[in-house]
Amino acid sequence: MKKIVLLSILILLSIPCCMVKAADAPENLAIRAGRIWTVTDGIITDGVIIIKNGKIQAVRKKPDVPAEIEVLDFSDKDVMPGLIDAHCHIGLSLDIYSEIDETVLAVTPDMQIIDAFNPLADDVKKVLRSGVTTVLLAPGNKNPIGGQTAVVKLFGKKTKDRVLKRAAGVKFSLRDEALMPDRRPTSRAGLLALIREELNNVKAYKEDKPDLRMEVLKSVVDANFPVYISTYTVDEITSAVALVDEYNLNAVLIGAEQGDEIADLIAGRNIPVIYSPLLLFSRDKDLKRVVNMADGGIKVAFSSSAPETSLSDLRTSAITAVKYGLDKEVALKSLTINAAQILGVSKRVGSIQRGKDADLVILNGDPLQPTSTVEMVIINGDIVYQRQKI
Amino acid sequence: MNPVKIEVLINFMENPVVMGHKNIILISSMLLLFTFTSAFGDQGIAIRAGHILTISDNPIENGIILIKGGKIEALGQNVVLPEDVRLIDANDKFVIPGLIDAQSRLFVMDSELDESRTIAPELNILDAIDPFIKEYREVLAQGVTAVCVAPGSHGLIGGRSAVLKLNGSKNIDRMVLKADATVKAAVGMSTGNTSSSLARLEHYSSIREALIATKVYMQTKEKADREMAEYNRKKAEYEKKDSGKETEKKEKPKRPARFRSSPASDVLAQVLRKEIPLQVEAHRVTDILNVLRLADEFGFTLILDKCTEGYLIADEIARRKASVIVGPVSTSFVDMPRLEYRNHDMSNASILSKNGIKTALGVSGRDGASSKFITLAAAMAAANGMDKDAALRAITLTPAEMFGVADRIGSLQVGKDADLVILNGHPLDTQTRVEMVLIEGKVVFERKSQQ
Amino acid sequence: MKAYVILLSFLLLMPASAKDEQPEIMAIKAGKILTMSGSPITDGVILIKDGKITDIGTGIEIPEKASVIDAGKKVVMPGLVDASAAPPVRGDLNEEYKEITPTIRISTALDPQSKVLKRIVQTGITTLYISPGWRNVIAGLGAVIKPTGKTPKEMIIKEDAALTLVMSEDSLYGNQIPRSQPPRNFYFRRPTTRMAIIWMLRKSFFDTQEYVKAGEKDDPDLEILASALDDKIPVRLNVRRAINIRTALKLAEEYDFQLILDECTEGYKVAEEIAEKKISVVLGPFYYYPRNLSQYEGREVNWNNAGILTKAGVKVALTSGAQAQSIDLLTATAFAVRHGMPKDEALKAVTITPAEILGVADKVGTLEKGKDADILILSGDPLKVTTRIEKVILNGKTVYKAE
Repeated sequence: MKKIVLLSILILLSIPCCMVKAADAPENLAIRAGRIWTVTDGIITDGVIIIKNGKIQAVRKKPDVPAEIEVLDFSDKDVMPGLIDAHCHIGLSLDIYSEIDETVLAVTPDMQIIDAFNPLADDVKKVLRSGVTTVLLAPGNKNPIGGQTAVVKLFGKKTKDRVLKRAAGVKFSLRDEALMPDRRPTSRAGLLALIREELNNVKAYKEDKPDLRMEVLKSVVDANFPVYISTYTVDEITSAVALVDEYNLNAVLIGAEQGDEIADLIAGRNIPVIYSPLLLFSRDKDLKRVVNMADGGIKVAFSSSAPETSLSDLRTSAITAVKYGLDKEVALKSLTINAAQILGVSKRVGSIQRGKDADLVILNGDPLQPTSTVEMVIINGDIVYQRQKI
Repeated sequence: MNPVKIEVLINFMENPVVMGHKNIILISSMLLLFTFTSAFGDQGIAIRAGHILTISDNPIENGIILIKGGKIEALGQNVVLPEDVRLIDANDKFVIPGLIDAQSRLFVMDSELDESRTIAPELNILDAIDPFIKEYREVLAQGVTAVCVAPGSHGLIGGRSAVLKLNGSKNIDRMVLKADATVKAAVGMSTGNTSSSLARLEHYSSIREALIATKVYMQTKEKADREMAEYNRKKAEYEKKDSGKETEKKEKPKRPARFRSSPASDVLAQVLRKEIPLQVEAHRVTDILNVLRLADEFGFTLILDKCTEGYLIADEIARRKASVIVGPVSTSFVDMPRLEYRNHDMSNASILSKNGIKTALGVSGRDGASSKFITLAAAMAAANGMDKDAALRAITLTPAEMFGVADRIGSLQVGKDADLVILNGHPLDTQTRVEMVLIEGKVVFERKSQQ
Repeated sequence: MKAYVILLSFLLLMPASAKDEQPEIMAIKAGKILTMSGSPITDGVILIKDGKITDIGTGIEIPEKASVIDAGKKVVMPGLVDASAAPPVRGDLNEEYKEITPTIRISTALDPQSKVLKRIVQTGITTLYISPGWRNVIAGLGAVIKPTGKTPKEMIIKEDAALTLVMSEDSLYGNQIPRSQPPRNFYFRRPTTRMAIIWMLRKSFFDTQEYVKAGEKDDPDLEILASALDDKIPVRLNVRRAINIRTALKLAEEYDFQLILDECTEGYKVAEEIAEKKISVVLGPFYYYPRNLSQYEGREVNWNNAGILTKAGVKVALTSGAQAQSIDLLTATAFAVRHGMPKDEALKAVTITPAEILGVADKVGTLEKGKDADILILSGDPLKVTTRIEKVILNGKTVYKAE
């Protein structure tokens, strides 16, 4: 009897091994490319990237490839790291209007946006096609203290492949949208008083009476848990900086569109900025702001705020910024490694380097030219998108 | 000027010697001022350029464009330059015709774009133009020399559009290249995030009613004109006979009832007579098909505006020989989310043009200043399958043809207006900068070296 | 020949414009200097360095490298101090979720890019007090600021300058008592009557006293109220009607705290009582036709209010009443004089008196050695309506020049 049980168990255990096959890319993959934009080590022309078990095993100039390895020949194309959208709201709703704010309460730090994420949503696929492989998911701007952000990849067979950070930080909002006529706060001074009140309450919090909300806020004040503060105007940014100073916050500014007017305040505290989509603006003066901020020493990453704005063009922000004076190298970094560093996932993504995840985008030209198109997207070594010829 | 300098000046002016010679001083100071200004007047201009993209013909390498009286007088590799011509040396640069945004909101404030959801063909966008708006300078600096401005998407028939030049004139009449260029319509537009099928049915029935009423109007008018002509003839006869010798008793002809003209109907009559195209904004497949059927029924010249899902029924559009203005090329240009852009695809323009449909591109952006992104829009269309040359044509000659101004602008050809742009690279390259813009031979923009 | 040389140099000089370099020392020469701290100085000089007045008087030697503003026969006076100005703040001034909001600080909402700042400077105001709105019974903390600086921090010269209490009917605005239906939002609450306003004030004071007696320290709202009742933070009470003024005086006596009366529209009716208690009054804006007041609060406006109060011995400041649309402060001062306020008191009422009331008299309010170089150059007598403000100097920098 025992033998039969043992045998059945063995057979049952062996079945999954046979099932893990099919549409997976091979374990080893080599990509030959005309130009490899590594981001951290310059551009390698006529080089090769070797991928093993979903990681970049090697990236080099010599084109020789070990035997028995599948080769993708893109010798006339450009390869860059998967783009990182440093702030968006995709996969959170089935309808065209996302529900990304829990506005009944103004303070909801215990909510985790990852709980609302649907990786199979349509907008996730659309964003993927534009070359974005990793995103920061965030709540909206309607709560002064919103929920917790998450860093996810847009594809992954297992959760651990997909979710890079379940809780990346807490979203704060100082924008006008956080003011409501029928719920506290109704005014700007009230908004700041509310935030200060909540953060001050942490001092009185006793851990013997566990409170999830207070736990999160405590980690913000005491343990450097990042806060993503959404701001727009100069006064909102100075208010954010005042909060950073008072509570010693580990802050990242989201938007901060008028930040170039007080760039020294932001750069002086090494606060990075996740900038909004450039095409939200049309005046030259506004289009140049992100360039001024980068020149002023601020670390900038681009974001799409999709689907509130558009779904397909994170790269367009970088292209437009270059047109208005942003250094090309800085623009490329702002799409990749800067975002990875700001989000705290640069060990895995953000550049083409040995040891990092094989998240790659293949384009038919310079990634910073609007005439270039994304031809293929690879995540963790798997081909997740390939453009069909019309 | 600090106070000390002002005092010196005042003392100088009050000097009796100066007062005695004030005429000479006046003339010489004017001469001096004149030499400092670069007013070249009507002297001819020639541009020597490395790459001249004419759009209408093959590019000309290392050619010359000769401009006189605001028009292109000669163009080619072997143009003979007259003596007193001002030569602009653009040796390694590109020259293209001034760009045209076919879906612009420049010079019109947002709040003035739309009346309500009605049939109002008599409204004219020119009445909403504010020539003092300054944003046009930033748009001009990106090479756009003309814009097609139309009423918005709320009105079922919103009114008449116009083509304007960005020549900086504060006088609307001098800005207008063509008034009554098209009649703008919009169907199937949603309000908020819903769109009721019943509401949309009403759109079509309203438009059909209006067009049928116009047909009746045209017939009635024609009849009234005939009756009036007949009356005039009889009256002339009656009056003649009256003065002459006595014959049969003649009745005084009765004047026909006065025919009441309707400006709205007159405009729609022009549409039905194919004198003015009907520019219909439609996004979804069902709406586009309905509009095509309207075109079949009434026979007007159709321009499909935006045509977001057109790529799904390209053959139907091609069959009707309708032309299309695609825009926005990317949803980055507009406020999301909108029901209309649910199935937006960046290859739309490419698919339509490959099916032989005359395709123009517009920015269709958030505000007037968005027109500056026209080359970005064209580049994105090229990135998604549209031929680069076709993309460039879609922001120059094609919209000019569609809006009936191709005799003046849209390509570099002898006899056309000298509206052109000098760039330091190919127009679709994002690193290219516009160096100089000319409208009718006058330099209206010149890039300062620091930018 | 000489003429042409001069002409040419004229043409060449034209494009050159004087840039605003900041020389070390600035000197202002003027026909009449109204210091507000003694007799006017005739044909005097003011020396300014690092934004402060280093010397003022007659017969002062002007250093060589100094940049000189020669105001000829013109009149110079201190920059105006508006003790109740429209705040350069974005959005709503009122935090309406609660009626008692002592912790709201209007300074946290300062917008250095506000368009209101330009007008403030153009009308000669160099120091101003801003308060939270008047829709809450205890509205929060105000601050003293200057209309300069790129960040709020650079603007503020005194944080927590006063606590705003409101007894006028503004605090009733928008409140409703639930009658037939259950309350839908927080606007369904007290106060909707005068009784309730006074009750809420008494209750807050009572709670504060209990809190202090119990030796507690953990309630941020009551902490601020305790400081106010202890005269550590001045209390500014917004009142209009005479009966409310009387009640205010009574409350101040009952709970033993110092009071400053704000607006005080019917102050003229109880001038002696106010003078007796040695209470300062920050008057509301002057208008011939009351615009924003209801039939009750605006029924008995008296144009001679400022004059009557001053003659009874009350310390009075004239203000723009926290309204961006009121007439400019100098013109309001002229109207006050027209209606009975003595001239020199009136000029003090927009300079040193408000500075004292706001607690910033060590820095501003008069032209004296050691104080901030906040100076107005006027084309003539400040109390003549035909006089123009030609230049406004703030912290030693010219921030406005009339065209």
